[in-house]
Amino acid sequence: MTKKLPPAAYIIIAMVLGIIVGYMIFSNFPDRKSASDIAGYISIMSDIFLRLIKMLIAPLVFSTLVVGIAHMGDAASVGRVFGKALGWFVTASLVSLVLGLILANLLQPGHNLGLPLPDIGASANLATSKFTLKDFVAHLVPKSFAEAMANNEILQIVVFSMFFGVALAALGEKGKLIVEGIDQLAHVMLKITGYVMKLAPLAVFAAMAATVAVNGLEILLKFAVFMGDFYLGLFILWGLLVLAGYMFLGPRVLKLLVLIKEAFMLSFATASSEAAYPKILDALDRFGVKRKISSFVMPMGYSFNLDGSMMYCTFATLFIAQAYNIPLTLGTQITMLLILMMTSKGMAGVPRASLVVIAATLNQFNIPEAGLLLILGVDTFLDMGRSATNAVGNSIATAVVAKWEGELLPENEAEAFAHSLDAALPAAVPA
Amino acid sequence: MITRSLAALALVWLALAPGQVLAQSDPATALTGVLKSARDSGFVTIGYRESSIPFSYLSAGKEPVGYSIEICRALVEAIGREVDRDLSLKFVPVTSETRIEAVVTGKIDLECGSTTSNIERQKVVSFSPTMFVSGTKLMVKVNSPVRSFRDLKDKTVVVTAGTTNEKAMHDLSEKFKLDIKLLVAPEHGQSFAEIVGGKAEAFALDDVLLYGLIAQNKAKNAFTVLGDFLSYDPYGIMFRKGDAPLAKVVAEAFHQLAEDGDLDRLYKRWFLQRLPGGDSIDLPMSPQLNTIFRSLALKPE
Repeated sequence: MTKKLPPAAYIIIAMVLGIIVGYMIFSNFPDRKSASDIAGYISIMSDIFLRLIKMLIAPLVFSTLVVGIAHMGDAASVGRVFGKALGWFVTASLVSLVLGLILANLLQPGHNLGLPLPDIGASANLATSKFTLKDFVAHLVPKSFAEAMANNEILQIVVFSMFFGVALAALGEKGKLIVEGIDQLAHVMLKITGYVMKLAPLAVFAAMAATVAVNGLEILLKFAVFMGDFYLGLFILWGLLVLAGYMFLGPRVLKLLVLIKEAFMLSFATASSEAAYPKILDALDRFGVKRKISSFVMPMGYSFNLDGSMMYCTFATLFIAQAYNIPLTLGTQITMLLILMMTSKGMAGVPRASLVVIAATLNQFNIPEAGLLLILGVDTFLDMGRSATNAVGNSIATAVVAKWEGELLPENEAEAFAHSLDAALPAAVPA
Repeated sequence: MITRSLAALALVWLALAPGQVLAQSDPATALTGVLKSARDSGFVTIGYRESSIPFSYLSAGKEPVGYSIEICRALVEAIGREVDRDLSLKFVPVTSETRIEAVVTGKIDLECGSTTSNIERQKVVSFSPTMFVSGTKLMVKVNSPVRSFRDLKDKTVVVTAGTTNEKAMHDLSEKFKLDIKLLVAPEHGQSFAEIVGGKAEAFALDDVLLYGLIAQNKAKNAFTVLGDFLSYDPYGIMFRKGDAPLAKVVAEAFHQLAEDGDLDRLYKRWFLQRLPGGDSIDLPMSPQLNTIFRSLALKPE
């Protein structure tokens, strides 16, 4: 009997196949209409997958978080975890923004671009919807729990679940039945997640094939300098994140990287960090992070800890300024960074919200918004890198907070737990 | 204890409630600008173009139709919901020359044509979010060695006199030191004839017009449009500057149209399917426009 391939191998195969099939479609149908028609049909697969994830995510966050907080005991420890998580998020955001700024200054991707620039007067009108801190803070609090669930407003669900969990903990014995019920709900949701994840390789294949069929690969060459510099930045950012993780977790951080590889590829191919959420939750379980930490820190991270998107904000803004030969003093750049630190907090895990934030920043500093039109054309490829980076950043952040709180199982116990998870699977799914 | 906190809650609610009641004043009296005139008259005036295919043009039955017109119909519906009245549309023809003045003077409420949104114009009028990204592209023969603007060194490119494309090619030639020879024809049909006759290696024009010419001449197998934008023209719906309530309705309606996928459907209808009584433009959505629509669909909370 041959050994079964690990799930990650299927995803890698799907990704490579997707690129090959996509490129074949792109080059065999010279008129873009047929190519995008075919891509439209292929992407049905990935659309369905992303919809299933959306279907899962609200009840999954609610049930795991309520149980987690109810087990955490008191409001004080909830506050402490919240504070630590936020501390990490702010630091990571700052590092990401600064890294984007430094790289853009060092590499000067906007100079000698070799591409026709949009006229300085053109306007992409992207900034019509502004993300402001004030609106964001008010928006944190749901006016209806059903509405928050219906619209997949993760942060609002987090706020409600915090109340719910703390109240349940305060009730103690009286609320025990509900805690058990919700715990069972969490198990059901995780079970469904398991079913949905079976589709992951297909979704990855479809997403890759559709992207390449529509855009081709030549476009990567055209923007080679910009893309190369940005991905170099992402690599450095991954390195920094792993290094920071190493300082807290020691060599175990490498184990974490191995565990999240599927989640990483999934968010890369689908350009959605949300798609990886259930998978990362599972990976963190196996790593030994107690659910009460992961179910709390992860959904918050999806709003506050978008490292890849953050780096992109400074990088892209400076890129456009350079392309138009607009010099920005260091003072201006630092001001810009601090403003981005505030405004970007409203991006909340939405794939393309960083573009809106960048558009607003450009307007604020009188850099031609027209420059956005240039990079909009390759945004899909950049979004893939951003999303995957956000996934890495979030899993490391969660593991670190768990360690810090003393809620990380030692390595041998974590391994035993992971084995018990694997063992539970065939038992639960007969034959 | 529970009763006490309930009582406290009721007190807080009583204290906050009057403010909420005051905030909701009678909508009819608070309206201004186009919303007010729509509420009072029952119609919204739409400026249309007679032959901006497929954005805004007269159908065989002399009815204004097109992509922009349908977007405007959705906008008028949104205005109607806002002012709580069924609104009808009144159509007024405008041209490239008259359109801005018509908006500024209030002769029309919404200009639904193919107008580039740029900073110059934004000083006098407002624009909706981007509904289309047009721009200069190159059309070449299918077997031409020219695959990108870089291959144009010392080659001849035909442009139509007085177009923005002429300027774009001039700037491009200078910026990248290509020494492009510009052949200027008085009109698009003649420019097309020049490339058919082999006098020029490429034809530089707005991509949507190039696709239109290819469809019109049934030349899909002979010519191809190269991928890169050499200049960018984002189109929007124009309306009067300073009408903040209208701007808000327009922005929200665009968000809704994007979120529901209506913009994608409208795009398909007017750019990929056969036009009423004509051919199909066959212009797939540019990655730029696609990304813009995706960002428009985001929640602006």
